[in-house]
Amino acid sequence: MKKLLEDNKSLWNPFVYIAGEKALLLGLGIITLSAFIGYLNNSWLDGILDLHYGPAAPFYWHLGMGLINWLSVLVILAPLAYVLTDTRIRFVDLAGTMALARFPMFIAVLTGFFKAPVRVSQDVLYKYLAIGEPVNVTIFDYILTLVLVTVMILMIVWQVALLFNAYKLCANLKGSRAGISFTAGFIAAYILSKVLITWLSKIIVF
Amino acid sequence: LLASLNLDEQDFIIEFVKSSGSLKEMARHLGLSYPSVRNRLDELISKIETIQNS
Repeated sequence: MKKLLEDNKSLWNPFVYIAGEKALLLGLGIITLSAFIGYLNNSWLDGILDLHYGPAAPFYWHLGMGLINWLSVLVILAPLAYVLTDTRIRFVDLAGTMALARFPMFIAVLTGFFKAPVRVSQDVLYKYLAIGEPVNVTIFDYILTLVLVTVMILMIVWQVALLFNAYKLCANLKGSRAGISFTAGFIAAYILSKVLITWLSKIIVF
Repeated sequence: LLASLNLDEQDFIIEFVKSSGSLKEMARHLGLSYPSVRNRLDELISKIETIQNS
């Protein structure tokens, strides 16, 4: 743990120092905490890369979305790793590192406590598409929204980098083999997460 | 063969022996994750095989 905190590069690849059961426990803790924050501020992590402000929903729904996001990546990338690797893989390393890779989305979901982006989007919809009612919005709301959107984009980029490094390290893959398989797997995992969450949101009544 | 390896690689082999061949034990001792240690072992095996075949 000491080495993890001392190494600057561990921001992009903490899995050199932490994987397995420890990463899994931490990662599931982060997923649960993110769900709780989303429940408090009505932020929906409704896809691996997605964060939207949505209607109020019970905690179990937010936790369900978090678990779907994690498991979608795992069920796609784990088989790919097993097929492509030349070494022995431990499933717990894949599961743990991919759970821990959700940490940036915990930071992203905290932005849901700021309601400026909601006001700004309502203002844009009213002014340019004549949808909804006029909203009281200030220049500060626009600036804050820009900052929050930048933070969200950075968190998404960070999460993708973490997932890639987790996959590469756990499967000991290098070069184009790692890049191409991860890209294809990640796209499939994203589609899977969106399809599952969208379908479930239609059949589950809150 | 062992003399063909660099100091880091020789240290790795010594750590491996001291850990009774347990990668889990080695990872704990080195402060690294299990896959990190296993990947280093894979690279070392590959290098040794290359030396032996040449």
